[in-house]
Amino acid sequence: MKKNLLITLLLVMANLFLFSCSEEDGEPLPTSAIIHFSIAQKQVAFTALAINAKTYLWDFGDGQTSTEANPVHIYTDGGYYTVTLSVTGGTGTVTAESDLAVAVTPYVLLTGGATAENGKTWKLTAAHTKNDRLANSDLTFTIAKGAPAELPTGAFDLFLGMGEVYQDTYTFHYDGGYGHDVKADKAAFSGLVYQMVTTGGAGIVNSGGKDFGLCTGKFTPEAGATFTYVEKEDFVVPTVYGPGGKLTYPGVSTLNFSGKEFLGFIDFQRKVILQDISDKTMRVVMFMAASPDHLPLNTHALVLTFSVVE
Amino acid sequence: MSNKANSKLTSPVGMAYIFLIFCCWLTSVPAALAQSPIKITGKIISEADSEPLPGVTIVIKGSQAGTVTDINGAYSIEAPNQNSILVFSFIGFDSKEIPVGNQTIINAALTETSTGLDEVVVTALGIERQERSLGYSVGKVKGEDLTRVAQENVLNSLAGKVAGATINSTGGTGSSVSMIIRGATSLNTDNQPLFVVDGIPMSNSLNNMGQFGADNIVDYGNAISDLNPDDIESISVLKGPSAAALYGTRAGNGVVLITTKKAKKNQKMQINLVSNTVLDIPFKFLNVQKSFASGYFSFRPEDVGGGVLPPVNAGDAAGSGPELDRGYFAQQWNAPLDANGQPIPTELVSNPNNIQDFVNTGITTTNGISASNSTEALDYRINLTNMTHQGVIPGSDLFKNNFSTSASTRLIKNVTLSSSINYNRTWSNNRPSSNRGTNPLQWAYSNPQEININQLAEYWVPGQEGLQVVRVSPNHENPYFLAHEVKNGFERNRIYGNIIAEWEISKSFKVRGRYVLDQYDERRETKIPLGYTKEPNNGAYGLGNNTASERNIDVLATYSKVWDKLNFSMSVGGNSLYAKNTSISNSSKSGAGLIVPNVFSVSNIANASLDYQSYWSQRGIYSIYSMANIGWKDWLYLDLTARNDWSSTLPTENSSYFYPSASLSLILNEAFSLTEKITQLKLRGGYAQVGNDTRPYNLYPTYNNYGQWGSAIRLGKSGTILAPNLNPEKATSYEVGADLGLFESRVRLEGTYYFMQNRNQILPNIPLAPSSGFTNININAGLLESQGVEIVLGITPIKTANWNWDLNMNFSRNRTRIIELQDGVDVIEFWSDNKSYSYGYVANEQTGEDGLVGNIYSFQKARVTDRNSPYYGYPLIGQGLDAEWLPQAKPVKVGNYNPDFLMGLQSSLSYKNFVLNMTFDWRSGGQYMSQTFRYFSESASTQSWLDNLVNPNGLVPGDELRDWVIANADQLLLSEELRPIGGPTPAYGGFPEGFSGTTVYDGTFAPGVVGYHDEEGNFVLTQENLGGEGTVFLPYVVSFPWDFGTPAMFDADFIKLREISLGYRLPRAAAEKLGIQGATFSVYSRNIMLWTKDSGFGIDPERAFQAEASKGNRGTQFKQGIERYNVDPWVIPVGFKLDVSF
Repeated sequence: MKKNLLITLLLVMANLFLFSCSEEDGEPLPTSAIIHFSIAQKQVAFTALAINAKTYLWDFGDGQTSTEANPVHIYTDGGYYTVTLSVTGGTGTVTAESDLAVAVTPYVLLTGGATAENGKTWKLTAAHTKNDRLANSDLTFTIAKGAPAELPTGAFDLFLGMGEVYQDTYTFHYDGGYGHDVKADKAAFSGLVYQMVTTGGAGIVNSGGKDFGLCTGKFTPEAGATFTYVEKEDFVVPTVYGPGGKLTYPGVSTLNFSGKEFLGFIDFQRKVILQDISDKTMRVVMFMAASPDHLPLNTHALVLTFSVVE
Repeated sequence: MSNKANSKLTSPVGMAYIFLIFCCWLTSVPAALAQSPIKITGKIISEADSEPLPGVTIVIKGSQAGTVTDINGAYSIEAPNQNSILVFSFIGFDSKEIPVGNQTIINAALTETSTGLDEVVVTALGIERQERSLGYSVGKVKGEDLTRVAQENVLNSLAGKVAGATINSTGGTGSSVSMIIRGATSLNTDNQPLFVVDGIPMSNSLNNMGQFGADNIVDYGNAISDLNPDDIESISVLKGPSAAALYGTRAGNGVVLITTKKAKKNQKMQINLVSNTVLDIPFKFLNVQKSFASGYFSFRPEDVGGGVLPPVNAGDAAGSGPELDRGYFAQQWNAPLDANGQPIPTELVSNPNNIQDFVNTGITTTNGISASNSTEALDYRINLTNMTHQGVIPGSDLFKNNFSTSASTRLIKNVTLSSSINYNRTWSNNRPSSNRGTNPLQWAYSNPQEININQLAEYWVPGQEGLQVVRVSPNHENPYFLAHEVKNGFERNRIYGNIIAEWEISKSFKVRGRYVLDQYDERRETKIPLGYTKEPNNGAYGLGNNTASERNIDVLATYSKVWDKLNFSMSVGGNSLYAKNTSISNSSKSGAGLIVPNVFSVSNIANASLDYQSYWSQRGIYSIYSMANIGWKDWLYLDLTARNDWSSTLPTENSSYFYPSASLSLILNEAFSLTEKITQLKLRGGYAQVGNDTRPYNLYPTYNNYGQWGSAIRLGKSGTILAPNLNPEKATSYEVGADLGLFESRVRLEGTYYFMQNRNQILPNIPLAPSSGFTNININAGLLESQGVEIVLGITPIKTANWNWDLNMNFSRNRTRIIELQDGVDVIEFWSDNKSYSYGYVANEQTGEDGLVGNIYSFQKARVTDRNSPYYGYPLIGQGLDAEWLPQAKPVKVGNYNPDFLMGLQSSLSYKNFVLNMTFDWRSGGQYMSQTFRYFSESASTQSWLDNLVNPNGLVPGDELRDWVIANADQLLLSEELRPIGGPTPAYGGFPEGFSGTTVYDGTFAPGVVGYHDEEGNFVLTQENLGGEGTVFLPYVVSFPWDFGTPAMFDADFIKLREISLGYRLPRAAAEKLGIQGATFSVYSRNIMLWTKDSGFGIDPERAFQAEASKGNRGTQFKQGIERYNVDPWVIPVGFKLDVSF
């Protein structure tokens, strides 16, 4: 009995010293590689996201190569390039490939350029970025009262039960044409007040987001719709936050649409601010008038990221 | 001291006389020679170490003549004749009788009393009694057993050593330690016993929590920790009213009598050095999961079309994101930037050593020096001790200085004056906070697994020192910042002491007068700089001061007389108690902040932000008491006591209360001749009552400041109706027991049964209907019954010249039931938390309530109750996104936080100069709720919750899965376990779900059915949720059933190795060569958890306390049986102690 207890004690003591070295596991992961990059004009900073790697070989697609892990390359000419990365490591050689658009105009980023036959199709991304938010329609888009500081992934689905808003697609054509697919629910992401005022509520399909003044409403995309892109303008928006019921957003890029068409979110205000665009993602500010007392002044804004539908 | 063996040896005096005459006649020795006094000299040593024993009493048997040994153990005495018998006696040693015969030099070696049944124990009013004469059980602990293993709080040293005493500590070094004797008997106090040090009642409340600033709850430790363990000679634990009745009002919870070390009569100058260092090495931490990153969805590259995963946001749920160490990449917190200044995704790797890296090895060093001496004029002892402690939590500390003196002198013939004065200073620059808020461990454990905690160690954002704290998300605190910068300091100065005069008017009549005082003031100061999210307005500041003092004056006159067969002693005394408490505090209101940051002064708090309070109370009790002890022929003893108190806190007409006690002890082996194998067989029994008054201000409502309204100052009364006609509480106890000693006391058995009734409980804050105009009422009613058993078994299996092995086991079991409250009140609530409740229901056979104190209630699954339904017994599930188990409307009893029984085992094995001591402590039964587990599981961060999931073993949604669920209905549907099916990845059997806009295989479902019961009680099915069609698969992140308490309930059973020490005593010869008297070196450890029944999550069941007042402010500032972030890591202490005497 006594002996056993002593042994227990010794084991406990021994554990103490073994603890720190018992965590490592044996099997290394197989060699793998992912290309990551960022573009600033013609300078591209590449990062090899590699596992179990020893050597790197980059082909920048313009005849230049590098053996650094994370090279910075400056392209002489703008345009689309295909970059390949070969990584050799513990379990062999793997290759990754990535397309990049260097010094390409926002209009080309939006539409895919003249060569893109079917234009370029976008949808709201469920993987919200840090800048995505439910905001007030003030000058700096401060976070709306009661809204989370950051939108978690799948927020509209997980918390509001309106996952279908992530499904709808929006297609921009180089020639200015605009296409829109509302998918199976035949409804669009919309403001609750807008729906109540315009349809008396009859158009509401899913009111899961009613606590935030959000819903989906019936929408039939218009045939032959067009869009207008302005790279830089002073955009005046009716809002409760400005003096005299309006605010000017100076020097912003905007998108506007023909007829009743819109991007992402249908409300009284259909012209949106394009805050940022890259080859794969763009961030757009969509306004919303959520106070029946102040119609048609906007009270809120949805700052959301769209991603390309491959 | 007399010896039980004597009565047979000492044949009647007459016989000796006849024998003497016979001898004279027979040997013809002249009578004159036989009658002439013989001068005898000699030396008395201790058999164990051959050390001389000073102060041994030597008397001629049957006479009053006697002497004591000097510092060299030498004595000289004149014996009347050769037939005289010398009796040598000394406390802690067996008495020895030696007939003089024709010797003139008589040397003797006394043996130390083995853990026998015939010890001297200190009883009520500090009176030393032979244990055999007591009719009640007393727990005894020797000073050396307390200090063998250093403990910062002396109460921790008692764990496992006293039957019937439960010791619990709330945290690490410096935290409050609770001692409850024979279970909680009062529903509205902290049930702590009264501590009396050399006659000085010590104030020791468990309620020493404080809070300045939002959610910054600090345990400043209870004041009994001011006692220096090295000053303690012995402890007697008077467990029930029988033993403690003479202490009156505060004795209902038992009394712990502490006797401090003093100079021994005739000892020589001795200087003693003790140095002690203990390292607390953290070794076990909470079992949080370490394999998943933050996030709401466990994405894999194949779920998102390959490549980089969506950014991992540290503010999301902590353990349900992508799996770590799989070679996945995502943009993370504090991402490095590339040449364009853009964040780069990095590999998601685990950081399993985060907590190990965060905590430190604690170091406690104690150094003490004492000097004692006995001279003609004065016996004195002086002690100085210093302790420093660096805590396991970075930045925490604790310091103590102890200074004590005691002295006694024979003023004039027959008058002894003695005094002791103790001064303690205890202080800390930074006590770690507990509960949630500023608790650094809460945030260290909340650190996302994908983030290395060392990245937070430099806690200021570079360039913004003092302004911006590095944090992983706006929802997170920085644990290093909290540990180092949120400073909860305190300083407590305490003085206690006594002056005692004893006048021995005649051999049989003594009078003692005493003046004792205990007084402390404690200053607390909290500084919170800018950087804690709940104090965003430049931080917070608070400054408070509490004082307590208690003065007692008592007189005791004792008359004792020994007749032929009758011993009689009677004492009469009186006591006057006066106590005063004050407190004052000034602080910024929670969240209101300071005018400018980093200036910590009350002047830096804006008027509107200032919270100011002061309080004082005083209390007086006058008492008279009397005690009589009657002994018949060394085998029958009767004790009677009576006491009357007059308390200032009760209404005048009820302020006087009387209570008596009686106890009887019968020593059968003395009364009848029994077999020699029985060393002792004693039966005992006792009856006692004690009364209890109440706190000040419990009779009439008083006005409080309710703040200002404009320029008007508002005063108001509280919403509680007080009870102006309060009666004192009254506890009545009965106790019976037997003590058995066998084979020269090598087997010792002691059993006690007690029954106690506690009437007229003062229960504060019972809720009232608001229509009455009041919210609560204090009632003075009720009856609580406690009963229990205590068994102590001692065995000495080995006793040879070199080897000695002593084993002592103790067992105790207590049950306390509520028998009555008040008409119309059948339950009181102690706490509600964690979707659980601690209710005290009145015992009631009809409703099935057992009335036990400590019951915990929570919810069970709502089920299909229609016996005709194919789904009979299946759990009911909510609809759609709420597809979780539904709770029943009423909570049911699920556990009890009190143990079924406690067992302690002490083993002492010695071989020559080596001693190995161990103390084990086993707690069996009882449950506790862990809110820490609940919070961490809700955010998917515990490994235990991952392990609790049911893996469907590759089955996909569909009929096959449904059939499998039904085939396993016993476990999955009909049991009370709450185990979702599925998991965070395909390896866990995760089902596909699309809540993120992409399909992720991290779905789980709660098996059951959706539907309702119609008016006839028939079950109407809306939808099955059994894995087939229509089943709702929710992401793993929402799998924890928040509406239930039982998933966070654990069994509290454990076995701890309370103490283990290996000591070596320098042999006498070696010590002499070094010119010292003796030296001991020991290594030790303490409080090592050997076994827990159910602590897979890693909470120490002993610390299931939540630092918050219970409902209605009843009892302590700790809720029992529940904890929230009481998560100090388990440590293995390693200590070294050196003890040298000169």
